[in-house]
This record gives sequence, structure tokens and C-alpha cells, in this order.
Amino acid sequence: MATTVYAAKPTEGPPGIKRAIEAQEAHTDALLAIPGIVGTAVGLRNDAEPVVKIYTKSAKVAGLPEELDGVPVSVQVTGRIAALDKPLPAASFTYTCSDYTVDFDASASSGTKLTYDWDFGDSSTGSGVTVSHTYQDAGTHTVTLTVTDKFGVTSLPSSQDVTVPCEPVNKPPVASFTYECLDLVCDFDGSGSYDPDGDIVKWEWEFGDSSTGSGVIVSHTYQEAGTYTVTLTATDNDGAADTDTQGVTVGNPPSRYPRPADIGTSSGSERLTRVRGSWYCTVGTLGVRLTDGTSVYALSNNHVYALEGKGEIGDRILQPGRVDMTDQACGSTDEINDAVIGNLAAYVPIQFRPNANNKVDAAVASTTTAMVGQSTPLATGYGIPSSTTVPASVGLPVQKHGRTTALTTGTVIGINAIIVVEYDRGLARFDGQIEVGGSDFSAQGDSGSLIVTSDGLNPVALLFAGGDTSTFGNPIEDILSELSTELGTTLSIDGS
Amino acid sequence: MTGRRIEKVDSYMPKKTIEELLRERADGLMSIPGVVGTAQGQCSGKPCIKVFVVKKTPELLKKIPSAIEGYTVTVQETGVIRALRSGYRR
Repeated sequence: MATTVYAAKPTEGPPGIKRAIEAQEAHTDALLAIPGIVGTAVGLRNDAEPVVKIYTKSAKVAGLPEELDGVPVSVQVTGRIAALDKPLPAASFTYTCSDYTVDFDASASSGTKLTYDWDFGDSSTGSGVTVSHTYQDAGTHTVTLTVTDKFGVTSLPSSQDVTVPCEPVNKPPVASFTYECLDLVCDFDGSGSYDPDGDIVKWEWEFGDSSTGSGVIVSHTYQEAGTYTVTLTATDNDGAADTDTQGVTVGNPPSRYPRPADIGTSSGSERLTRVRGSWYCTVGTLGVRLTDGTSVYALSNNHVYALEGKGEIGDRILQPGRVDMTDQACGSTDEINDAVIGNLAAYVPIQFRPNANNKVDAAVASTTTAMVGQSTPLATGYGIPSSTTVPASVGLPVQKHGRTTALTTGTVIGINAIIVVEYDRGLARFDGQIEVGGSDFSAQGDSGSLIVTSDGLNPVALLFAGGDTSTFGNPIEDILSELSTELGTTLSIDGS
Repeated sequence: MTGRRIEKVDSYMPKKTIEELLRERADGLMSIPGVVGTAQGQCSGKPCIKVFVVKKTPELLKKIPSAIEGYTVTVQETGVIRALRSGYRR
């Protein structure tokens, strides 16, 4: 153990003290050499008499002088004199952290029976050898610990900067795909998926028909037509994943509507029409199926399928029309998609002039025999119309099946009619028209109905307009010839 | 026996066919305000001319002849003649 000599010299004192000091200085080195002597000093005995003090380790030290240079000696047993080196308590801590919650551990601190005082650097404090603290705000906080021992001695502070959230939380990816199908073959593209803080490393597909695939772009061939639930799972470089699920319809899909569709039923364009600032869906009747020997078409009016000329070739044509859909006003996307029977293929333009010589109000949609059938509804109709047309004559008994009034019968009471008809776009004059009598033969929504003879079911006219007392139709032969000109192919009734 | 067919008519002039007559007269009839159409009909088994009007008012009836060249003219109140689609506001 090292020893250090500490000396201090008094500068003033009572009389005789100078002599005591000189005596102490002269003899201290020799005295300290004596084992058992641990120190010397100058003091006062009885508060008046200067003495040289000798400090001893124990009472058993012998050979001690009684006086030094005439100054009396006083012996004091001090025991070993040791430096008062009991350490101050020391604060020391570690921590672990998860997101905004930090767990502090001060057990590395030293000292006897410590209490722990924490300052978390966000105006809150705590105590205890271990504490947990959750921060409200992100950022760096200076955490300070002090400890106090049983003697009430407080350590120096120990500080560390803690940053929250302290572990970067991985952001998951976003899965997203698009697809395109032709017949039963679909291409799926997952390249729209992304990871905000890394990369997508895996694209896994479930095609909804028990088969799977992987890769950012994949192709899949389905065995049969239908709607399949397809799921893409995209995984990022940290192992987090996200899915995108969509319904994919392939081939000739099953529809919620009866297929093939009956003639004489609700039908219309997908396209809306704007009248006086508001948007409307419109509906009429699918009159009959036509054929040119190769393809088939659904016949109705221009104002039903081509919206008085505002429609466009290719517009999707529906059965039923949007007016008759129930999920929401003018139909939901699902209802509309289910109702598609074909696309607008041709129409005869209408001249909106009060002196025009319009003959027909006609349009056709290209379709298939799977989509459109030949018969009126089984429960309410007259069956399949004849493919042979006949001209109208006054007195001819006729019937029709339409969307609104279903099956009605009447008589032709006028021919070669010239009428001015009111449309959304204005008035248009037609000539050569057929008039059927009776206020209940038709109503709004029956436009496009095929008017046939009661006896023989021969097509006579295509219903398109009406007043309070009468219904008007275009002669069926004019319909076929004008549409054939528009399409560039020869059309005929596809009936029995 | 060949020769012209003789019809019992009220005058010595052979009657025009109703088609011919309407071709001549339809525009004139259609130009009367309130008239929305004409047609060939049958009245009591005989061809007659039909005139369609929005509303049968006494004033309008005064303007429409009751017969033209031997053909009865009958006036029918159709109201406005409209395209028969049904619409729904979205």
C-alpha cells in the first residue's frame, strides 16, 4: 500500500508554539522511521501548553521520548491512518428498445443501498433499478440517471441519448395486378406492385382453379369459361407480404340473366344519354334476331340502341337494359357486365327535320346465338316468329311482345302514315308508317318490339312510336333493306 | 269482257286512289298547326283519310275538311306522337 506524507505548517499560535514547531520539524523524519509511529503534530495540552504530538498505530509502541528539545511530547493512539477512499456512488445504465418503448437497467451502478432517479428527457421522471418508459414523440431524448447511496451521497449523473422509434419498422409491400384475357387465356401482370422501403422479391399467383404460378408477369390458360378469383401475393426483401384479389371472367361467362336472351324483352345501350343537363339510362325492347347467313344480330330501334345517333359503333348492348337493373339506379357494374349481349354494329340515321322523309328508326347489335335466342318468353310470349315477312293491310290482326306491356293484340288501322315524332333531339317526320289501333297496344319501353300477324306470326313492322290512340311501326321490309345497306350485308329475320 | 272497270262514284271523274290523293294533300294537311300526321284508313269498310291531331279543338276541326275528293276525312286525337323508349335518371 502506498503511503503519502502530508504536511501543513501553522503560521501563528500561542507563545512557545514556535519552539514546538521547530522541535517537531527537527525530529519527525526520525520518528516516522520508528515502526508504530504514524505521524507527528504540534498541539496544545490543556489548551495552553504547546506540545509535540506523536500519533501511534497502537498503544504498544515503545521507546517514545517524553520530550523533544525541551518541548513535551503527547502520544496519541490514532490507529492506522488511512485515506478516506470509500468511493462515491456511480450511476451507470443500459437499455433495450422496441419502437417507442425503452427498457432501462441501472444494475451496473455501484454504491450501497442505492436509490435511482431517472430523467427520461421528455419532462417525465422515474425510479427503480429497472424502468420502462414509452415516448409519445419520435426523436432523440437525453436520459439521465443519478443514484444516491445510504449515506445520502449522490452520484455524478450518467446520460445517454436514446432515439425513438429505435428500430426501423419494416413497411410492408403493396400488391397490385392487372390482367387481360382473350377467350380462355389470360395474361396477369403484377409489375404494379411496389415496396415503399425496399424491393419486391416474390410474386405468387393463385388462379382460382386450383392452379398456381410465380413471376411478375404470368400467363394462364383456363379449362372452361367462368369467373375465377385470382390472388397475387407479393413479398418484399424483409419477408412482409400483401395480396391483391380480383374476380376474372373468362370465355363465355355465365350470366345472372337467362341466356340465350328471349326476344321481346328489355334491352338497351350501356351508354347514358344527357337530356336537359341530367344523365339518363334508356331502355326499349329487343325485337328479333336477324341473320346474314354468317352472323346474327339483335334488332331494335336507333333511339334504343344508338341513342338517336349519339351512340357509337361498338357500344355495348345489354339485355336487360340498365333501367331494369336493381342493384342501384341504372345498374351496378356487375349487372351491366352480366347483361352484355353484343355491340352496336349499325344504325340508320334519323333526320331531325319536320319535312324529312325518314323511313325507319332501326339499329342492330352484333351478337351470338348463345346470347340471343329466337323465341319470345315461354311464359308470356307467342313463340318464335316466322322468318317470312308480310306487308301490312288495314284490318290485319297483329300482336307483339314487348318489355313493358308484354303480349298485346291489335289491328292495323292505318297504312302509309306520315307522322311527326317527338324525340329527345327534336321532331322527325316519317312516312310510309303502319298504325296499330288501341290505347293499350303499347307503352313507353315497348320501342323495338316486333309486330307480327296474329295468325302465322309473320313479321309486319318494328314498333317505334305511339300516341294516345295508336301505335306506329316501320314496315319490316324497309327495316331489313335500310339496315342491310348500312351494314353492307343482306339481313333477314332469323325465325322459324 | 275487256274494258274499263266502272265504279259507282258520285262524280264523272274517276276517283284518284287514296295513295295518290294523300301524296298530293298530306303536306297541306300536315301544315295545319296541331296536325301531327295523316294515314290511309278504313271507315265503315271504305278507304278514308285519317288526320292525326294533338287535340281536337273546334277551331282545328274547322280547318280540316270532312271529305276530300270523295274520301271521308276522319280526325283522330293521338296527342303528341313520341318515340316509345323508357328512361331513368341516374
